[in-house]
Amino acid sequence: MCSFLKNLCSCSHPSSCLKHLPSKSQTEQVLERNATPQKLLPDSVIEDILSRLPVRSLLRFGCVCKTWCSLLRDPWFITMHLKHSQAKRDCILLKGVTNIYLLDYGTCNHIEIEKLNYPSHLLKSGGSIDVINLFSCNGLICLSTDSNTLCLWNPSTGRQKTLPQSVTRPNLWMYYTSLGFCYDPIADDYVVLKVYSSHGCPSVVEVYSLRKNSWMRIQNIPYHMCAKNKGTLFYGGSLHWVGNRSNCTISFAPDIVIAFDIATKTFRDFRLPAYERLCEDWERGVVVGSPYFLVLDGCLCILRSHDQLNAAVWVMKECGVSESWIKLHTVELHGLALTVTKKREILLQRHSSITYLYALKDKRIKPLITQLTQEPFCFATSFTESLVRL
Amino acid sequence: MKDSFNPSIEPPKKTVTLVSSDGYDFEVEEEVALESQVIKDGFEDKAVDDREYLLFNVHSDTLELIIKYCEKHVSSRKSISAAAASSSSSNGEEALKEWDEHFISVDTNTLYDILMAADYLNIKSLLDLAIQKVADTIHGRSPEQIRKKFNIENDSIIDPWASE
Repeated sequence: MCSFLKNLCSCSHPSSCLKHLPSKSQTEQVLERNATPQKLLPDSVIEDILSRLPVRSLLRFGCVCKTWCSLLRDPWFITMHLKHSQAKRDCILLKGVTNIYLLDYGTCNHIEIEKLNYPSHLLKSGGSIDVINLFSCNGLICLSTDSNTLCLWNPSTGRQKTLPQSVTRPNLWMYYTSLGFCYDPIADDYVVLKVYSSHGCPSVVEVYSLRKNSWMRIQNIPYHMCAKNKGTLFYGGSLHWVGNRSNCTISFAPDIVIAFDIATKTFRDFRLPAYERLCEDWERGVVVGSPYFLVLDGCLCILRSHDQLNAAVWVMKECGVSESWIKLHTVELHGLALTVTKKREILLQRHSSITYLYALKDKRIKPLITQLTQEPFCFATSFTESLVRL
Repeated sequence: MKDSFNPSIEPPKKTVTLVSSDGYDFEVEEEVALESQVIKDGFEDKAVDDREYLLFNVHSDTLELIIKYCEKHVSSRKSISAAAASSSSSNGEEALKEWDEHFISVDTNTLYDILMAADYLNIKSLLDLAIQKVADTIHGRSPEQIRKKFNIENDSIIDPWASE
């Protein structure tokens, strides 16, 4: 690091100093150093300070010196920064019809909402963009557009990468694609899954690896991902969707959880709790009924709306055991659930312009955003800013 | 004989002596001193009658603050666990957080002195607190201000994000 840090002597092994009397000259040296304490911060302390800064500040500080510049690209530092970022605050990505917003509500009285600019190359000639789906993981966003483009994007650093075209063209009739995006901690890689589902046939699966920057087809699966999946969840080493077995009708409400084990690259399934009453609007395409995943006290949970008014939170006490679902809460939402935060709050939209936070703990509701944007939100997911490189 | 005057009095607490870089002695309770991982690590090796630590990197002004912090944390921990044991409601952790926030709201030089001392003595919670405070105070600065603050020479000619 910088020259002043190399001049550090005794600080690195203070325990040895404690056991001996310092000679007078040593003490004098210490007093001299103490006169300008800022100059003596050890490398580890400097790195720790930097790892707690917002990405915006770090991008500005990259030019402070060469050492800092390379530190910001160091995978070890990027991981340390991500850990602090995850522990520090909750941010939520909100997708409107045309724009995307970042909501920072870290401290109760301080809420910031910021419009993000989509990667410019994805914009159509009129400046519009049709994002079909988005997934967030470790500060990266996986975007799919109506023109079938898939793009990884770090909105904090502004870096983006368009994924190459898939290798296979599935031999399916009238198929639709479902996506998943997660971090593979074993391979230290980011992975995108693309599942092609078609009525009555097994689904075709392709896996993209960021490290290899290529797609690979894996074995077909006897499932259909639900076309109205409201986000996936990475939990216990697996990525989760809701769906049906492929011998069911696709438009039917999802009745199983499909889990993709990242280590073995294999799928398994378990049943969702039975519907108390199947929502009538399902067939008409109203966005109710499809569950959200969440994790409470280390257990996989789902939030499932019965209709526009009511929802229930179910917890699976034993991971992967269908019989262990227990209903935890029944909640009167009177609106559209957008996502569930780490603090057990449901982000809820009513009257298309007011967003509320509904605390599961005490069933209290408070308004969060009131008409800050001109458009209603249709999707939300949690987000942690990071320096993760593409 | 002494004990018979007040049978309820606790046995005298074991103390250790911390000596600051400018030669002042601070007598503190053993458990307070053991908040420092460095003192804890060296503790077993020391003879019982030689519990004196020469902290030649910590000035008496800073040491006083460090001891205040450790005493507060030791006593808070006790009252929090006592409240938990009697299952009475307590906002001890919230109160301690507020106390910490107030404690670390000091001028820049004092903050750096605390930071250096916490690093030297390896007091993890205090180091975390001080580092977070520094991070909170510098995040809006310009690169030039940062160089000045950390006394860094500008050797950078490249834009870190220009090439991937």
